[in-house]
Amino acid sequence: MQLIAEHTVQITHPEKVLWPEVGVTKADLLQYLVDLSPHLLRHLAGRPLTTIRCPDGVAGHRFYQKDAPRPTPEWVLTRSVPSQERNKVLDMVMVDSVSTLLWLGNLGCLEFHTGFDPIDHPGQPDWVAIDLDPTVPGFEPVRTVAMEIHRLLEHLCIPHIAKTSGATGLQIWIPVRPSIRYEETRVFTQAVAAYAVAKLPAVATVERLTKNRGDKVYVDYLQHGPGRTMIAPYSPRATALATVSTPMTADELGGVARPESFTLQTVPTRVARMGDLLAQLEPIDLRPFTTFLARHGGFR
Amino acid sequence: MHTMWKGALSFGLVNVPVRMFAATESHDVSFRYLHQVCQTPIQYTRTCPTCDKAVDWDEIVRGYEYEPNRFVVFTDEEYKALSRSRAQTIDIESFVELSEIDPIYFDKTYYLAPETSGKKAYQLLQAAMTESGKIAVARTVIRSRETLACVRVGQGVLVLETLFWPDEVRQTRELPNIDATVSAEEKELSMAVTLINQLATHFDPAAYVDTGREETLARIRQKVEENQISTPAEPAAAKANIVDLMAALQESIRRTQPDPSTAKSKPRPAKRAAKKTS
Repeated sequence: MQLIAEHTVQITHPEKVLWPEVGVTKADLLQYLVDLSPHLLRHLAGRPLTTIRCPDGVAGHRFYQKDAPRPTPEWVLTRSVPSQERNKVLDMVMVDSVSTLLWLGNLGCLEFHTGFDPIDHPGQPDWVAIDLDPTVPGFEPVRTVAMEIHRLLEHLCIPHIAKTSGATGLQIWIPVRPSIRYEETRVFTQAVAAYAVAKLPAVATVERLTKNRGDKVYVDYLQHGPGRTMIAPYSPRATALATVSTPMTADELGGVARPESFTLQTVPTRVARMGDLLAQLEPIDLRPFTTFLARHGGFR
Repeated sequence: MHTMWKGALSFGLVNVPVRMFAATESHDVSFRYLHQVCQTPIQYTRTCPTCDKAVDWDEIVRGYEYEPNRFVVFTDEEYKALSRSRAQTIDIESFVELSEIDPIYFDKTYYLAPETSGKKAYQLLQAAMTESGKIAVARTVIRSRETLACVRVGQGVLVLETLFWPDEVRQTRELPNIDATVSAEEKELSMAVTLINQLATHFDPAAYVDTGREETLARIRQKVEENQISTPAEPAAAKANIVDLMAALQESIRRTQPDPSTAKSKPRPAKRAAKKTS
């Protein structure tokens, strides 16, 4: 079978069931990728892709892939990126077209992860994210911490959106004007994390070792940094329920929204109705905040 | 024990797969420096006196001071290019008598243990070296540095001693008052030898204990028992007032933005509906 977008993409076994528990097939995934492509492409463009591949669906073998899958069609854009490991260069996919999305989908790439700094502005993130990770199952404590951070950011007039990870966690995303560096954003994310822990000592923690976190929500400000990646907005997740990493409004966050209600089946209609909440935010200059916190709070 | 290197001991056509372990460890009692007033451990910052600011590691390059205040600079890449890549082997070059290597050359000692596949070759090499009474001179790379070493049998296992390079051993001619022109008389010499023989014994490691360290540790235990303990005034103080700090930040932001209605904190209504491609 062939699909024709910007380029012709060969599709194999479209009937293959990738999410058996909810009966979602590869054809459904490809339809989703096409439906969401304007938004997926906006968030993936210009950022080297790390993907999780599940060629036999979420129940089968899965692996991380940073190097472009081979064979790579000549129309797939790739960029050389030095690896964290020494003396290694990765040839990473840059998702810039619907056909690239379809090609990846056909290969069983279920998750799309990217960094915060565009490849053309290395070290200068244009998004800041604070990652909330529950230590024990359950979304309510995550919601509590997210609401505390939401109220803080609202008071500070900092635009932000909560986005489900699609798995168990949630992140607060803040669009920032480029030219700010990770060393500066770290001052801010660290202060926000400290604030959350100070306000909710029984619920939130910045303890790095899982075994010392008890049942608290881990406020992971370290996940925002050079070389770190995060699940891209609207990326499907290789979870049993075919959940999707989905931005949500403050009302939804404070109300009854549950991460598992955002799935491959529900998100296209939702986004057609609401648009991309992330695209509706105006980037902010974070520097006055970081300067203040560094000067008065000793954050560095 | 923690494996610090994996590779092979290699000589001629024989390769003995081995792992390397540090053979010695220092038991020095180490103290940390605290600020006397608040008992907080002192933090060190790398600062630049010219720029008057703290410097992060990614802003740091290496400079070799070839004459006072003149440097040749090496970027990380250049420096990496100079350092030796991790060796896969300890290459035995020759066998010599242990007595030929003055202990002054010995630097650090490591144990070598065979991998499962190398047990037999290891035993064989160990037996042959014991039999011949020879030790091996070898080269390898440890922590990016080309290293001279010798391999000998000790404590019933193969032991690798790293050696100082010959030009790293200082010359004795720089020492004061060492001259061979003063010769001792026969009688004086024989008395000295007698004295030595009276003190002669066998080396028994168990007989030696670091009494200085024991005393220090005992004093530490005593202080702990007497509850003479101090806990730093905790940066928790800083964390506790983060709430106040954020309030102050909010206040300062408000001052710079006289009209809060211009602040863009709320998402604008969805302008763009999702466009469909394909």
